[in-house]
Formats: sequence, C-alpha cells, structure tokens
Amino acid sequence: MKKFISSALSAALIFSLAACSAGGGSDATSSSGTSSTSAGAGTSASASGTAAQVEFPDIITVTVPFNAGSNTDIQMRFIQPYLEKHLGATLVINNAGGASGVIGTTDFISQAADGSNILFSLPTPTVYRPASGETTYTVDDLVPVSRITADPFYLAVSGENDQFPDGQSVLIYIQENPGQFTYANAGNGGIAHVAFASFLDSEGLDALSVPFTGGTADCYTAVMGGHVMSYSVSESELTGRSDIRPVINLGTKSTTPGFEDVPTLAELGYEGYETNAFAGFYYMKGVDEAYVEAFDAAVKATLEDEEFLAAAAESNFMHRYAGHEEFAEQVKNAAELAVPILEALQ
Amino acid sequence: MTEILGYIATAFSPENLVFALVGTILGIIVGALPGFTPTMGIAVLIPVTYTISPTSALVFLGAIYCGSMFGGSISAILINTPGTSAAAATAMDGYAMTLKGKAHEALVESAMSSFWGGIVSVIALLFLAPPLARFAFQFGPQERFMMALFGLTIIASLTAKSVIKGLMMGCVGLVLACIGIDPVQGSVRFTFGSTFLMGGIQMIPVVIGLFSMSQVFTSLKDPVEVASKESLVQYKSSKMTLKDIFKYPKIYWWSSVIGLIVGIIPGTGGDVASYVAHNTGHMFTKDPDYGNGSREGVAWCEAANNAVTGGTLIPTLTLGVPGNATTAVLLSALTIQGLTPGYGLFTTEKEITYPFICALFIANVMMAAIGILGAKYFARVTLAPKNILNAFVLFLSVIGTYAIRGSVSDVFLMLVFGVIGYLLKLYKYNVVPIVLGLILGPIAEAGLSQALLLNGNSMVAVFASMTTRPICIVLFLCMVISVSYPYISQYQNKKKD
Repeated sequence: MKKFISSALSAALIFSLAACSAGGGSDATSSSGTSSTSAGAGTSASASGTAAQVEFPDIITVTVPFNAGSNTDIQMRFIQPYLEKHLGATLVINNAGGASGVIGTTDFISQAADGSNILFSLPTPTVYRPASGETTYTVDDLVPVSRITADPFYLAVSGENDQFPDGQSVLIYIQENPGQFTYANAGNGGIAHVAFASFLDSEGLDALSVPFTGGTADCYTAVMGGHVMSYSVSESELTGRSDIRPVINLGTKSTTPGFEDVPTLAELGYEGYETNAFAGFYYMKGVDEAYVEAFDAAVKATLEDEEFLAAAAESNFMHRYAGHEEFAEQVKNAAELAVPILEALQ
Repeated sequence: MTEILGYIATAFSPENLVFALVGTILGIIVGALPGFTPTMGIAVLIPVTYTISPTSALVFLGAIYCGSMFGGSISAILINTPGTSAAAATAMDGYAMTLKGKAHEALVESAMSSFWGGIVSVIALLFLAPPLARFAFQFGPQERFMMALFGLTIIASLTAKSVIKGLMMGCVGLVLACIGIDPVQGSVRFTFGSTFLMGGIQMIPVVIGLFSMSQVFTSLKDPVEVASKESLVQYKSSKMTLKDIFKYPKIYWWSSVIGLIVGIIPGTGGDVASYVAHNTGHMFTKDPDYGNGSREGVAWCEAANNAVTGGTLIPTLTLGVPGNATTAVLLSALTIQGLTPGYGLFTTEKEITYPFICALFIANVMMAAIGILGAKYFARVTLAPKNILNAFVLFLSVIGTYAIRGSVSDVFLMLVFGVIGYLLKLYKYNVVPIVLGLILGPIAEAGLSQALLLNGNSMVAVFASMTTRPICIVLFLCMVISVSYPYISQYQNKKKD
C-alpha cells in the first residue's frame, strides 16, 4: 500500500515540476537572452545615446494581448534578444489573449505606469475596438512609443480570376453593380474590414463584406473556392504567394518587389485612404515622458543593429520603424478614419 | 528512387532521430497535462530551434504535435481529464472503460488507433497533399454549417434514452457559445459589460470543470477506497497481444479519412474530428456499450484526432494556410527558418520537406511504442487510492486552467462548471452535449451567417443553394441516418424481443 502512495505522490511531483517548467517557458527564454547579451549592454547605451537618461527596471513586462504563437507574439519574440541588449533589461513576455486583444489591453492599462510595463500590439485592440465604444478604455489611454512594422493592406483576388485583371476593373464593377462585389475579411470591426469598408463608406460605394472567423487562412480558402470574389489581406501574409493576386493597395505605397506595381487608392483617383497593419509598443497614460524617449531610442538602435538586420533579412521579418511622434500621428489618423464605419456597425 | 532513399536516410540520421524522440516524449507530456496545449508547447520551444538545421527543427516541432494528440487521451482515459480538447470525445468511452477495470486495454487501443490515424495521414501528406489541399476549397459556408450540424446530431445517439435532456444540454452549450464577440457582425453580446466575458467562454475551463472537477465532487461523497484485489488481479493480468496492433482495420481507415478531411478544412481540428468520427462510428457499431465504455469508441476518436495532424499539415505546407492554431505556429517556425510555404516546399525545398514527412512517420512509430510499453505503467494510476487521486486531479485542473492564458477568472469559471457538472450528473443529465454546443455552435453560426450574407439574407435561397452542392447533400443524408438510427435500432431490438 505504502508503495502505491509513494509512487502516486512522486508522479504528482514530476507532473508539477513539468507544469512549472512549461509555464515558466517565457521567463526562461528571456533570462537566457540577457545573460548571453549582458556584455553588450554597455556598448549599446553609448550607441543609442539617449538611453542613459533614465534607469529602466531590471525586468520589463511586455504584454502581448494575443496568444503565444500568434503572429504578433512571434514578432515580439523575434526582436526580444536584440531589444534586451539595447535596453539593458530583461523582457518578460506576458501573453494575454482573448476578445481580439481587448482583455490583455484592459489588463495592461491597470498596471503601474512606472516604465516596467509596456504593451506590444496591433491596432485592433488599441484603435479599432475602443473606437466602437465597446471597451472600458479609449485610444487616449495609451501612449504610442515606437512602431516596428507597418504592413499595407491589399484587396486580393484568386490568381485564376480573369474577371478582375486590375484594380480599375474592381472599382468599375462595384460602381456598376452596387452590393454585388463580395470581399472576405477576418472579422467586422477589425482592421482588415475597416481597410476597405472605410473607403467604400466615404465614397458612397456599396460592396458586401463577408467576415470569416478563422482569419486570413479562412478568407484565402473562401477566395480560392470561389465562395467570395476577393479578400482584404496585409502584405506580409501575401509575401511568397503566387496563387493570389493583389489588385488594389489599400495602404501606403509599397517598395517591396512584387508589390510596388500594385496601384494604391490614391493612384486610382481616391486620395486620403491608407490602412496599414502596424505593430508597435505602447505605454499607458501617465508614464514619465523620459521612459517613452528612452524606450523609443532603444527600439531605434535595435532596428539599426547589424546583427538584427542580418537575422531579419534571413527570416523575411519586415520592419518599418517609426518614432513615437510619427507613430502617435498614425494612431490618431487611423482612429479618425475608422470612427464613421465603426459607428455605422453599431 | 535513390532520391527517396536519400530522404529516408536523412530522416534516420542520429540527430533527427534524437529530435524526433525528444519531441514525441515532450509532446506526450504536454498533451497529457490539461491546459498545456500543443500550440503553447511549440510556441515556447520555437526559440530553441533557431540554431538547429531547418529539417531537425521541423522534425522536433512536428513530433511534439503528433505526440501531444496521443498524450491528451492518456489523462482523458485515466482520470477523465482530457489533456487536450481533442481528447474530450475519448473520455466518453475511455474513462468508462477505466471504471470497468479496462484502463490498460483502453490505453493500448488509444496508442494503436492514434498510430494508424497518424500513419494514414502522413501517407496522404506524402502522396496526395496538393490535390487534397484543393479539395478543402470546396468547403464553403454552407458545407461548414452542414458539417457542424452533423456533429451536433451525435446528441441523438448519445442520449437516446432521454432526448429531451440531451437537447436541453445541447442548447445550453449553444447559448454559452454565443457569449462574446459575434463572429460575423463583430458586435458584443451577452457580456453584461464584463471584459472577461467579451473573450467568450473558453473551451478548456468548461471541459475540465464538467469532466474532471465534477468527477472529484462526485467521488468525495463515496467512502475512501483503496485498490480492490480484483483490480490488482486485472492489472497484473493485462497483456498486449499481436491482435491488438490491428484490431479494427475498418475503423482505423474510415476514422482516419474523417480526421484527414476535417484537418484539411481551416478552422476545424481534432475536437471536431473526434466527435464527428465517434458519431459516424455509432452508425456502424454492433457494440451495445458504444459511447459508454466501448473499445471501438476509443478507436474511432483517437484515429480521427491523430489523422488531423497530417490533415492540418497539408494546407500548411502546400498552400501556406494553417489548418489550425498549432500548424499556424509551425508555419511561423517555417518562415523563421527562411522557408516559404507553398508548392516550392515540394519542389525546390524538397530535401527539407520529404525528410520531415519521413520523420513524422518515425515519430508516429515512437509514439505507438511509448504508448504500448507505457500503458501498463500509466494504468497504475487507477490503483491509487481515490482520496490521493482526487487531490491530484484537483491540483492538475487548477494549474492546467490557469496555464491556458494566466487568468484566475478562467479558474473560477472552471470551478463553476465543476459544480454545474456535479449537479447535472446527480440528476442524470449528460454533459457532453454542452461541450458539443460550445465547439460546433460557432462553426455552424458563422457558416449560416456567411451563407445568408451571400444569398441576400434569404433562408430559402440558402437552402436552395445547398441542393446544388454535393458535399451538403452527402452531409444531409448522414444527418438523417444519424438522427434516425438510434430509433430504428431500438425498434429492431423490440421486435426481436
């Protein structure tokens, strides 16, 4: 009998140990990151110049309001070791997913504004969900720090589609057949929807938005199966795809090979519409301005780091840095463009 | 030919064999622990793979995926705590077998059917990936709606004794699935202003609460038992024979086909596959215990959810479209290694892809070996005294629920469902339809809403469009059989008497 109890107890112990080590996974990766790069911290401070003005805490918690393994999470984990080097601090990634990022963002805003907590997020929880009035916070509760990526959105059709050879043909079809043109997106009120809907709405055009819960993968299948005519998708998700053809650039003119020839809405005669998926860092309102400056400087130095650039080139990691002023401007513009369409949804 | 032998040789290189073995073991552990999903395991381990070769990295992560699908069934069978949501269906028959003292048999069957499911899907991945990926395009909104409805008809066969109770529970599940952000309109509903509810009712806390916590509460009423002499005798006499390796060839085959198809469709995974397979099995089985401690039931569920692994990898590798959350993470590991998913993987990068697929084959063999050799030791759990086991399950349930996303609210949700599950069992309600409603409700809702949008918001037009879609017609016929079968068999039994 004793044997059974002891074996059961030891099994429980092993399980609990396994549980602890699996749960602490993110911590483990971050601490190893610092120990190997702590030597570099001194040199980076002088390289970035401004980072010396404030003292960062030893540990900074980065809230990623999406699940471990999501695109945003992977991006954060990719830059983590390089950023740690330039910050001279250990980054602990806290994945808090749910409700398109709103749960993690709500949680983040209630944390201490002492520089030890920062948010890394896409615009859906920071700009679009608050604009529709469904969250307990507003876009003004967040302070944009720096932008890492900015992916233009595209309207894309199947590569086998002869009906819409170019962007002009799509716009003509929409004008001649109101409500007949269908475009899939990853959810109403999300950025992929707003990217095209805000344009249609302001120009008095009518097309049918068909949301797919499974995200871009789901939209892609629906387009390839002929269930919808087109879908709204960001550049990074189109990279390397030959079976899908982007026809209209809904964001900023791209310089990426293969995308530079896709006409923007401005080039098709409609000025003032630019939607990009931008991932970046935010502090909460009330944080010392010096932390914003210093963190931004460290991010800038990271994205200019040769080691990082080499790794990014190898992994097709597309980064488009913007400093806190430019980033704040972009957040403000995105919110203004989205409000009418999000209010119409209510 | 020499080319193929080269790929196999690469897969058998000592380095890749070690990665496959370590990956499989890690996968089984991650799978067996409730709340630790394969997605999480792979996401956390991706940084480990930065420095190893692309082939080894893929072998390692792929082996974790395969192992976890089997691992989930171990805890489902032994302690009624599904380690993954895909194993929830296995718990129905698996745990009932444990209660009958057949834990060892259930574990062996789970290992073998997982193995065959995995093998069929790997072979499909190897030879049929491109055409099968294109088949997935046929699954539009209408087809998904019908598939989810077919899955829901399992309620009829599960609860044939009291269909009203079953339907009530199914509705509870569907209503719970409505909480949160509307999948199509994007509006927020039934949240009462709570940010926590905005994220919807998560599957895993509900499953752990309804299955394991309620189990703990129920057994607290009973006096403390130690392992009886009978179970000790049963344990000592449990043996594995050669017959066990290939006991149900037909079930393995058809269940794998179902798992494969469900896996290829984006947005559906192991949980949907095992319920659909279990329901299909109900039409063919002659086992009176089916759904309540039948070895065949375990085979149907486990072959299907392991066939999902290869199925989800098909669109991931050929089209760059992940079949589910786990393969989405695998896809990012692929791009970090500098590989571009798509047909290129099967042409220009084939010296990476083919060894990877061969290694998945090896991982499945290792998984079966570990499962069969370990079954006897895993089954020891059933000999542990109830009070210790209960404390252990309670501990595991709380930790597992918390681990999903570090939320204490999820733990409370799990405990609430534990109490609900206990009360429901007391009044002889089957809780499985609640889980079914939660899994399939959102798929059915999204499919129907999308179909309505595309057909001018006319229900008539939606149903008219279904009559021209062959997959819809096949699914409809399956539904009719599934709903009417329990009554037909009851009628036949009465006639015999």
